[in-house]
Amino acid sequence: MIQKGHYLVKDHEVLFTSMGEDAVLLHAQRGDYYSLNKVGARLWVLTDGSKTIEELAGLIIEEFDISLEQAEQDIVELAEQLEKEGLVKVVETPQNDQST
Amino acid sequence: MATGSTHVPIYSGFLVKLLKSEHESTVITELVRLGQKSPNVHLETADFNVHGVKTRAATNSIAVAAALTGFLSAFPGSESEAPDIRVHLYTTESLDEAMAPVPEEAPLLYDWDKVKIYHQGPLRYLEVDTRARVVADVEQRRLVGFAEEELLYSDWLITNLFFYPLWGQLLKESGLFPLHAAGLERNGQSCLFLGRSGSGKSTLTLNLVREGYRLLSDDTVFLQEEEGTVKALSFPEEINVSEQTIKLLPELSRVQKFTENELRQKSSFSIEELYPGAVAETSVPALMVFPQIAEVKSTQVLPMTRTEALAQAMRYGYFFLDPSTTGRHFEILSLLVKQTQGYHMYSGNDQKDLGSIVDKLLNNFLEQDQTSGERKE
Repeated sequence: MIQKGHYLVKDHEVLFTSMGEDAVLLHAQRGDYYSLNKVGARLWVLTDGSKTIEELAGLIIEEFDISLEQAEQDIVELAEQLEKEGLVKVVETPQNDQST
Repeated sequence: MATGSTHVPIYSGFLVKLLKSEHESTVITELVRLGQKSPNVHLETADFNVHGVKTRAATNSIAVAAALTGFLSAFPGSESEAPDIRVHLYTTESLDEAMAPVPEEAPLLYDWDKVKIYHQGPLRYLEVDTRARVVADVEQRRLVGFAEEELLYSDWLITNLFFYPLWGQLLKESGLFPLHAAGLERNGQSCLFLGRSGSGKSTLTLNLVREGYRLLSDDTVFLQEEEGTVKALSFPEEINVSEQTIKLLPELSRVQKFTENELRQKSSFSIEELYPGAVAETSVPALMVFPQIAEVKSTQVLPMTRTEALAQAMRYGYFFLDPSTTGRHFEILSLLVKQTQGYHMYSGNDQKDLGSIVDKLLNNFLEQDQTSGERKE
């Protein structure tokens, strides 16, 4: 179960492009692609393997009108989806993010 | 290896001279050597210059030489210029004798029934059924292929299955990214129509050329980025039309020379025959339109979000995801989407108003562009 003290590490095969407020992710090896809304897109940019979900939530609430509790809950939900799709790994210790 | 009497030169005076670079792939070199080994094999070469990317093709087959020359007739090159891409396509009586199988450990990149592409390091392997194999080195930009002669009975098979898949990848390595789209240009700006076969691209193309638009391509344009702007470059193949389209468009009755393509149940002709001077070489895309045939009287268009347009563009931009170019290709498509406006188009029965619809979309785009300055995210 994903907890707010966990870290998100992007898969290095995932490509990201901003489309205005939204963004598109492409898994370069599988060819699957995904869209992210503006909060998800911002979260992807902030994710570098060195910040916990709690820390990411702290950064998100500075930019969006949302409570810390809600932000943490949303990020956990998104992290579950991203992990299920193989776009991130959720780990217990910080890691250097090699993705671009 | 085939050494039969069918291997005769067709371009007299063009004698193959295969240059060796110091670092070329051992696999490719060995295959080229094998292809040339038979003493009675006459190789012919032809040079093509596709928007600055020079290809030199050598073959021992009349059929292959003729098909490639027709396919790339808009891009004559010069033998005095060093090629960026070297292509060697041989016919053989027995594929297994000519070329080793694809290494079992090579991962599959693309699977389209009888056409498969594998990769291993800088090498890409193409298999067409069990009758043709091609290997390309994306670093050396060189490819060698062998096909059994009986596979190559149609120009379409030669160009689209034997030659194009890995040559297209070498073009990407050289900065030209093919996009499966029709492209029409007016005043330097273009509208790209992206859709599968049967979505009405050729009918749209012909209707717009009649309205004074110039043609970049009926089926594939090349994308090239220059200082942050994506350009669409021409690939003026012959236009493919179905029997139904020929009946619908009266001007097609004036076409003297149709090329029959039984495999695709379509006929093709050169746009220059009907509309001399109708081919444009380059343009800056302003619109991306995704057409589909609809049971409506008048054609309707609906704007798309950029995210939706990019997702759709990737369907038509990526033939297969090659690890060496996927990132760059993604960037080019993203840039293209950012500089254009995307639309769904529901093509109605009455296409008389098509020119004015596209005109209006282009004018709207230009007005918005002028209002907002450069379109940047």
